[in-house]
Amino acid sequence: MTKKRKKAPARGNRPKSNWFRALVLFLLKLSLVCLVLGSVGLIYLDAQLREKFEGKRWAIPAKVYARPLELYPGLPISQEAFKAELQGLGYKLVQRADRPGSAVWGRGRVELFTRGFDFPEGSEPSRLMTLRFDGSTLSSISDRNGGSLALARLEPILIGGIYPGDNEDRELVRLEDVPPLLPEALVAVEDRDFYQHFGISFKGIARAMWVNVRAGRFVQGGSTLTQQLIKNFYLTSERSLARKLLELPMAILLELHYSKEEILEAYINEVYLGQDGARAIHGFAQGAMFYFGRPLEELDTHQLALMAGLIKGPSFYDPRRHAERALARRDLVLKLLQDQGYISAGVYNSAVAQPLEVVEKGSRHKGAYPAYLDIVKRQLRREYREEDLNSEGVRVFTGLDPIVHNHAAQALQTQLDALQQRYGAKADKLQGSVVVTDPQTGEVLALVGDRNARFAGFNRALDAFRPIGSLVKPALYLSALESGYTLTSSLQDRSLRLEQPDGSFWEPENFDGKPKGEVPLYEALSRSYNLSTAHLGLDLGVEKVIDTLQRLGVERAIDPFPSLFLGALALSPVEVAQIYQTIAANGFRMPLRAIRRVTDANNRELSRYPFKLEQISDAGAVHLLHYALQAVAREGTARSLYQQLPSNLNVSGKTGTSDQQRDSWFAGFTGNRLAVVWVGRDDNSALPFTGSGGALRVWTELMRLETPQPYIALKPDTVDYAWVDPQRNLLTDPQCSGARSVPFVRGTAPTQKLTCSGQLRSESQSGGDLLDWFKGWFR
Amino acid sequence: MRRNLSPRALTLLMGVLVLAGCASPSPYVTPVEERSLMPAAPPPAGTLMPVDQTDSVSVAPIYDAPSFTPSSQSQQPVPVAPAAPSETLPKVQQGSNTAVVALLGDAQQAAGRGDFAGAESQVERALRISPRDPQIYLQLATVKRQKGEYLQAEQVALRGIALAAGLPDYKSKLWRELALIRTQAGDYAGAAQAEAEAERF
Repeated sequence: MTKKRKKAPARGNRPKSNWFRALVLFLLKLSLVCLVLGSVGLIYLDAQLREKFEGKRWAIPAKVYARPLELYPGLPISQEAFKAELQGLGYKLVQRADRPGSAVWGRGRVELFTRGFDFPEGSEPSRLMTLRFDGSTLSSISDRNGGSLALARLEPILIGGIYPGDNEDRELVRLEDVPPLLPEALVAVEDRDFYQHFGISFKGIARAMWVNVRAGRFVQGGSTLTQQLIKNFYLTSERSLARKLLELPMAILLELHYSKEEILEAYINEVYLGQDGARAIHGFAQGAMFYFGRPLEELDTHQLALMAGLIKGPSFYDPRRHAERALARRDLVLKLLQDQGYISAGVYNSAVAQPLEVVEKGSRHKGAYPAYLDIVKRQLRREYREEDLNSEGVRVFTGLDPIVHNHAAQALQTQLDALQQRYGAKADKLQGSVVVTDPQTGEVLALVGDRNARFAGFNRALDAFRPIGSLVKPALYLSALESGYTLTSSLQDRSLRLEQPDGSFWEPENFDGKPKGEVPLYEALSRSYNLSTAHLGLDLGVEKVIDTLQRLGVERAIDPFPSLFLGALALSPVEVAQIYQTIAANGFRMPLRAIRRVTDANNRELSRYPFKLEQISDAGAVHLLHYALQAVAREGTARSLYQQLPSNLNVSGKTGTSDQQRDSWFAGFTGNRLAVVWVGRDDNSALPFTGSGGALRVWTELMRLETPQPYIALKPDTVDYAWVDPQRNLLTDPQCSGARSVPFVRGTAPTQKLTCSGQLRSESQSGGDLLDWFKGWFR
Repeated sequence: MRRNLSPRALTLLMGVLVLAGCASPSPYVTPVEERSLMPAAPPPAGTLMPVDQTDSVSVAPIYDAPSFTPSSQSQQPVPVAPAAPSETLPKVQQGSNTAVVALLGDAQQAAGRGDFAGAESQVERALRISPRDPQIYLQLATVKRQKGEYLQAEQVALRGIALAAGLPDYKSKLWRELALIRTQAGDYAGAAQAEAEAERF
C-alpha cells in the first residue's frame, strides 16, 4: 500500500556497463509500475474518501421527542411541574432572561425566553414571555409588550435516539450556528497553523517534537485538525504504521477537495468527546447536551473552553470523574485563548472564576424512558428501514408526557417499596409496570416497564403477558348490557361445576368462598363476584364475550373456554389499556398511539398517525357499564382509593387478581387519565396481596400525584335514570331506604313499583307520579 | 294516585325536598355533565335544558339529584363533596377556550388555503387541549371529509354528537355535517336520516 516512493536513484561511475543499463531499465520499469499502482491506489483512496466524507457526514440517528408542552391560560400545571419541564429542556435560571434558554423564577410568576422550534406544523418563534400561575393552574401568558397570548409552545424534550450498531450518537451543527469562540479555541489549542497548512504541518510536528523532547515524554502530538478528523472519521483506533502512513495522503487529499470551513465543520461534528454507557458522544452539539444539558449555541466561554480541552483525552479529563484535572485543563485553554488574543483579559478573568457547571448524568432525559422508546421503535421498525432510522436524521414526535411519566415511575417505585416493607420476604423481587393514556384521545402518555423506570431491559408493559383475572369482567358485563340485561337484573350467585373440553372440571369460587345468592348485576361486577359472573357468562355464551373483547381492541386469538369469564386470558398491560381505552371513550375504539408524526431532517412529513376512532358499542350500554365501574370505586373492591383521592373524581375501574394471586392488576380512568397497573413477579410466584392490595395502591398514588380531572359522564339520549330498589329490581321512591338512581336504556327500567315499606304498588305505571303530584301544586 | 299520599308521606317528602337541596351527590349516581354550564361552547338562546326535547318524561334534575336515604338507615358513610361537577367543570373548560379558538381559527385558514393536512394538525392540537369539546369534533369531521376520509369523518362526527349531549345547537350542526359526509360518500339514505335528525334540534 505504501507505493509512494518512486525514486529511481541514478548513481554509479561505470556508465557503459551492460548490467547497469539493464538495472536502470528495470528500475525505470519498476517505478512506472509503482507509479501506476500508486496512482490507482490514490484514486481509489480519493474516491473512498469523498464517498465517506459526503455520506458519513450526514449519518444522524433519528431523534425522538416528547410532546411539546402547550402553554395556554387555564392549563392545569403546577409551577413545580413547569420547573421540571424547563430543567429537562436545560433552561438556565437567571436574574434577567436576556437570551433564549433562560428563565427568571418568581413566586407565581415566571419570565421565560423560549428557544423556538421548527415543528412540522410550523415554527414556534423564540420569544420572551411572562407566565403567571394561580395555584396549580397557568393563569395567563403575556408577551414582551404585555399583550396576552392565547397559546405558546415550548420546545419538545429530546428523549432519545435510534442509533446504529456502533452506538454513535451525533447531532449536527452548521459552522455558522456554532459560537465563534469554539473554532477559535480548536485552532488555538489543537492546530495553530490550521488556516495555513495543507493538511500536514511540519511546523506543528517540529513544535510537538521540541515539546516532547523537552518534557522527556510524549505530551503533544503534531497532528493537524485535518489529520485528527481523518483519524476520527475513517480509521479505527488501532495504532499502526500503515494507518499512520495512510493518514498523511488522506489529509492532503481532504484539503484538496474541501475548504477549511468544511473540514472544521466536519471536525466539530465528528470529534469524540466522551462516553455515556454504550453511547459514544461525538461532536460538540451532542457534547453540549451531554455535559451541560443545553444546546451548543447557548454555552458560555468557560464551557466551550472545557469542551475544547476535552478532545485531548475525554476520559482522562472527564469533568464528572476528574473535576480538578478538567478544571486545570479548561483554565489552560482559556489561557491559550487569551495569549493568542482571542479573548480579553476581562473575559479570561471572569471565565476562570466560573465553576465547571457540568450537569449530572441522571438529570438528563435521555435514557429515562426506555419502555416508551421501545414502543416507538417497534412501531417505526414496522414502517421504516433500520438504516433510514439511524442515519437519515429522522425526527419522531411522540405523545410522551415527561411529567406523567415521572409520576408513574415514582408511584410504582414507592408503592412497591412500601409493599415489600409491609410483607417482608413474601413480597421480595416484586416487579411492576404502568401504562398511562389519555382516555379521550388514545395517546400513550407514559409507559413504565420495570420497577426501575430507567432500566432498559425486559419491558413488562409490552412483553409480560399475564392472566388478567377480573379485568376481563367489564367486557362480559358489556356483552350482557348490550343483550338486554339491565344494571339491576338479578343474577344467581350459586356454586358451579362444569366439565371443560379437556375433561377437567371448572369450579370457580368467590374470593371469600361464599355464594351470595341473588345479586343485582351491577353489584356482581362492583364486588367482583365470580359465581354470578360465571353464570352470566354461560348464559351469554363464550363467543359473545370473545366478540366483545375483540371489538374493544384485543387482537390476539382467545381460547373459547368458560374460564375466560374469570380472566383466563393472558394479556400485556398495553393490551389491557386498549380495552379500557375503548370503554373510557364511551365505546369508541381508538388505537393507542405513541407516535404523532415522523419527519425527515428537513422537516418534511414522512408519516402521521392521526386521531382515529370507530364506534363499537352502543353509547347507552357503555354509559351503564360506567355506572357499574364507578360503583367498583365507590363501594366495591376498589373503594380504598377514595381514602386518598377526592370523592368528586368519579373513578371508573376494575381490580384484577389472577389464579393463586400471581398477578395483581388495576385498570381505571378519570376524566383525563387512564392507567393500567400490573404488579407481580417475573418467576410467576404467588403474591401476598390481591389486585386491590397491590396494583390499586400504585394506581392511587399515581393519581394522587397527577391530580387529574374528574370524570363527568354525558347521558346519552337513549338512557334515563330511575329510582329503584336494586335488590328487588323494582322502581321505588327516592326517599325509601336503599333507593338508588340507576341509569336504564330507555324502555328497560322495571315497571312495577315498591312503597318504602316494601309493598308492591297496585299501579303498574308509576314512573313520574311523585313529580306529577308535585307539579300539581303549582297548576 | 294522589289520594294515596298520606300525611306522613307528605311530611317525609317535604323533608326529602329540603334535605335534597343540601345533600351531597350520592356515591351511586353517575355524575352527568351539566353542559349548560359550559362556557366553552356559547349556548344558543333557549338551550338551557340539558335534556333532549324528544325526551317526554324525564326531567333534567332527576338523574343529577342526590339520592337520599333516611339518616338512621344510611347504607354507608357518604364522602362529602358538595356539587362537584358544576364546580370543577368551568375551571377545566374555561382556560382552554382562547387556545382552542386560536387553533381552530388557524385550522380554518389552513383549510381555506387547501392545506387540509395542516388543518388536521391544528385541530388535533385543539383536541388534545380540550378533548370533549363538540365544536372541535365538528371541525375535525369537516377536515376529514375535505380530505376524502369519509369513514373517519363519519366516526368523528358520531363521537362529536355523543359529546354534544345537552347542546342541541351543536348536535344539529354535527348531524348536518354527517349528512354532508354521507352524501359525499354516496350514502344517500344515511344522509337523509342524518338530515332528519338535524331537524329535530
